[in-house]
Amino acid sequence: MLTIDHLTKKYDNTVAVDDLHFDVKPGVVTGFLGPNGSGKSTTMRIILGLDHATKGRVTINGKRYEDLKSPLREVGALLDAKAVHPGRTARNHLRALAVSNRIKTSRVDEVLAFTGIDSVADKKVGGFSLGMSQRLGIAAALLGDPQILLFDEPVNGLDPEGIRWIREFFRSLALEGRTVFVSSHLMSEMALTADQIIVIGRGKLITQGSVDDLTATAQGTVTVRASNREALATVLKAKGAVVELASDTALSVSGLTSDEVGEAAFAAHIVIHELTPQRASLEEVFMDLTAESVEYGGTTPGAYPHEQ
Amino acid sequence: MSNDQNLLDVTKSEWIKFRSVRSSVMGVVVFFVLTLGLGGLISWAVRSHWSTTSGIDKLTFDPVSTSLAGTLFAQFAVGVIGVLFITSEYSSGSIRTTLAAVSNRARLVSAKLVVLILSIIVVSELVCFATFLVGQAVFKGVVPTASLGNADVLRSVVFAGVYLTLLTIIGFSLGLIVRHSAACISIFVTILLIVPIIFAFLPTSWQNSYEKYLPSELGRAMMSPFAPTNDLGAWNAILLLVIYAVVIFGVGLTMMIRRDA
Repeated sequence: MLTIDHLTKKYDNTVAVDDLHFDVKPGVVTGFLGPNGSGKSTTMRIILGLDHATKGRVTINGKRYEDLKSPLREVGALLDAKAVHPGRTARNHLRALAVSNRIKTSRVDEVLAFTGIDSVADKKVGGFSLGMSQRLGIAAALLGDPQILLFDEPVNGLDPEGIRWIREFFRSLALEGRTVFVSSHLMSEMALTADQIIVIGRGKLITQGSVDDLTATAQGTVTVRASNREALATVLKAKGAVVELASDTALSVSGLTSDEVGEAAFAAHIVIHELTPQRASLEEVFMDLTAESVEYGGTTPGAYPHEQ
Repeated sequence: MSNDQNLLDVTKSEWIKFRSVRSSVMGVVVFFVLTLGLGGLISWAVRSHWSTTSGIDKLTFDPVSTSLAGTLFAQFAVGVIGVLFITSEYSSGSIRTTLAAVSNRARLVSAKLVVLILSIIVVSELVCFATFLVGQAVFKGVVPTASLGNADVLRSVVFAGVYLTLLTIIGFSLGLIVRHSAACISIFVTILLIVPIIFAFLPTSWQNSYEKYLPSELGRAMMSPFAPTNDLGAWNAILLLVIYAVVIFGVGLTMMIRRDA
């Protein structure tokens, strides 16, 4: 169990992490979501003891990272795939890590084979593609067979096959009862990978919960097709709904449930051909939640200033 | 068997890291070649011009320092080895991976220091004895030679190796403080090469009072079998250089522990 306990980190005048407080539980994949610059990587660095917290603390099964007797056996982390000396071979990189934590060197061959980079094990890391470096970083994280695994933006640089592989890999780690904590700024990726989601923005916790909970709390819409579209729109607007044109024949209604839409149509003698409740996608929930806290927001596409 | 990490585990790990990158291996080779090659060349040049050497130069000739002259160039190589051993971790970002595996920073820095001291002292002593013996063999029959049977001569050769090892510690410690390879190497070269040149322009009284405390002058004193009147003497010189190294290392270690990686 990983506990982020009222964590605050200030750099000079900027607050990167602001009183962040949550637990990451074993047995599930927990997604750590936020726009770029929201403090995800800083939190990851503080978990690993790389950066010192200004206030609060992080504990791993009750202990601080620097008090772990053999860190790689308890926590495996992939922070930055390129954080490896380019002149060293993959095998030597892993051997040095293994030896420092009393891990048998036979384990190096195991993790090289598991991540599929055994054929380049004796090549210098400097020549690796980002995808190969990611796999090396995952190999390093797995060296000590740890119960807690942290991955910072792990899908960056992976090809579609690699992304599918890593998703299944996270699931299998969680099924083994491990704690899997994965950060990403891509909501769509997390929707497919994570069970639990923690959303932060500007260093603050915005919300947390299961993927289902998050989409359920968000306001959904109802798609309705009817014989007399204009009449139905008028009726629904009278009941306080916001009605938009979804296609040539369908309306997208928000503010009313599908039951209410159906009953309103029946009362007005309008024939309905389709009535479908639409749940908000996790992507939309995320955009709503973090809209306030995007550090570097662009203008809307139409607003691009054209030369006069 | 306990799985708890100790200093020996981290030292073994750092030893794998030290010998598995080209910069440190090449640094040691360059260091060896410079010391032995230049020492041999300079000794040979002295021998071949001995017949035209003035009487006063012949009187003040020191066969020990002359055979060890290559160390004046090799000191930059050992400094760079020490600097890069830590700054390359910062430039490549691998320090984050390293600290995730060794969260006790004092233990990490100590392990690196042990690896650096052990490897450099062995190579330094080997190459200093080798260049001394080569030099005396070159001088033999023409130029006065020195013998390791003389205690002061033996001390000079041993201290030459110690001087180089202390310099690599200073380079490493500067690396802990500055963290950038190029900036750190510049500072190291400035201390050993530029500051003595600046001293040459200062009033003679200042030179006499302060120049002897410069690391390069301490090295000269450690490597000479004689004790010039103005000098601190070899034992005071080594003591002072050890103090320099310990202080700079202490500052480096403290900053390493306190700062974000």
